[in-house]
Amino acid sequence: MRTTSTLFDPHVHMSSRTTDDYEAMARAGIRAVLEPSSSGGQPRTNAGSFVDHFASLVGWERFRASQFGIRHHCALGLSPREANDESLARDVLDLLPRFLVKEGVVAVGMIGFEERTSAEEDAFVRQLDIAQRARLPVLVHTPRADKKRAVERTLAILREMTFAPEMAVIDGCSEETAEQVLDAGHWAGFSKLGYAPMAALALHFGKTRVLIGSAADWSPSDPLTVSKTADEMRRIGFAPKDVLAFMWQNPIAFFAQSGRIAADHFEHVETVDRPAASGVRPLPPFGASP
Amino acid sequence: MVADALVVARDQCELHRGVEARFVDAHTGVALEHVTEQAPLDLTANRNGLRIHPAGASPIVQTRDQRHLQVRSDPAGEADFPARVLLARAIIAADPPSGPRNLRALYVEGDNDERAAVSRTLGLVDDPTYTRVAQEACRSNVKPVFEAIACDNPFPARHFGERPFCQMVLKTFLFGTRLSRVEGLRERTTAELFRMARDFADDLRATGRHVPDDVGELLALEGAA
Repeated sequence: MRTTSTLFDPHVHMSSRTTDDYEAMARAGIRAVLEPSSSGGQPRTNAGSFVDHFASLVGWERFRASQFGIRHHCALGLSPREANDESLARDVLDLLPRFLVKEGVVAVGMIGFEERTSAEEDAFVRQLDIAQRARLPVLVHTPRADKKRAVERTLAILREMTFAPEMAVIDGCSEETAEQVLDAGHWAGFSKLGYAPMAALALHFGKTRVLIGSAADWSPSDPLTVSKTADEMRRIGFAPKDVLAFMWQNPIAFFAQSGRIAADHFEHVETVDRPAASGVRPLPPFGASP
Repeated sequence: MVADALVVARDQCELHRGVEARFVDAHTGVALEHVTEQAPLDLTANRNGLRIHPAGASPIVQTRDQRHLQVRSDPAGEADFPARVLLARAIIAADPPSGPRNLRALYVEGDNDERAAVSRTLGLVDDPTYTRVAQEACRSNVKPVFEAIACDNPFPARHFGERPFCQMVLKTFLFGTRLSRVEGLRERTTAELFRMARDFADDLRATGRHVPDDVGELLALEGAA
């Protein structure tokens, strides 16, 4: 039997997940999520696709989450993969600021490097500038390949732009890169490293400026990562209040820098009525129609 | 109830020159008494959206005598919705011929609150040229957006053709939305609507599923007609 607690997954691609996942997440105590824009596995090739993607993140997905009592927030941006299409990048960065003012948008992201091309760097720099103007924090992606170099260049760019260090989370950190990231005053994001290793990293680095997320998406991944990591943290001796600090207070503190959420916004999370989720359905599931 | 004229700062959007916008609260639920002198909000109306930001930034929607229109900043956000409806009406009034295009642009790029505000606004404009965006809202799977056009709103009964109106009524059953909230329903019942409701009920019964009470309520109108 799992101990339920109050959890915030600061990086999860819910658009790629099923309602079964929402249900399991709600049962595990996940009350809020942050979904960053991403390439969705299949990079988009025209700006209109981004209009619909962004509109979906501030519209349909937000409603879908609300049916399970989960607050959905999002970060909008042009992913590094898609930034390599330079004419697409120009169009998307032109329309991005229009969407940053919408309900539920609390950050710019994922942005950063994949292959460390000049096109990626250009889109990264421009989006940092857009985020600064919008006074929003940023979620920075780091690639799996050649991570160390990408992190070094990422940190250098943030420094050159005098980007407020506490307004950036560098995601996909390893033990090695987290050190540098935290030393530079940024937040370190851990995801997809396994529950026990992430609990161990939490112990090693402490709760200052650390975020733990699932990064669950369209590939094999686990939307209950934060819950299972919280279990593991308790098992190795973390006090409940410290688990709460990592898994609830920290994400709120980071995204509250947007000025758009605060802890007291979460006091009344309402569940919108929805069709029965199991057994004999009184009606066809909504949204199933074309 | 309040007929303050609105002037929206020119530098925000060329759409909003000398706008006359009368606020009618019949369908918004919140009276304009919520407009107070405390806690100013930044109201931004332009083709990118209907925004209301927390106190701090300077309000850009002003009364014609240059008093700032200030909306109560309550935690429940109760004043936000009528304020957005007010702003959508201002956008229409600024350039009536472009109204349908501008409102549709607001809808397409809108978040759920903005889309609901656009839908609600249509009930106040009573103009069939807005039917396209109204029907788009009807196709939304986001319940509050759908209900903003389907419920307590005279637009569909006045301007929808038979098929879209029937589809809307059937969709209230799917959402569990009370039929009594559909305005002008009695005047728009047709043999086709009753047939669709009967078929819907038969289909549910055939698979042992519960038939919502509202379906029976609709079919009872057939006998009464």
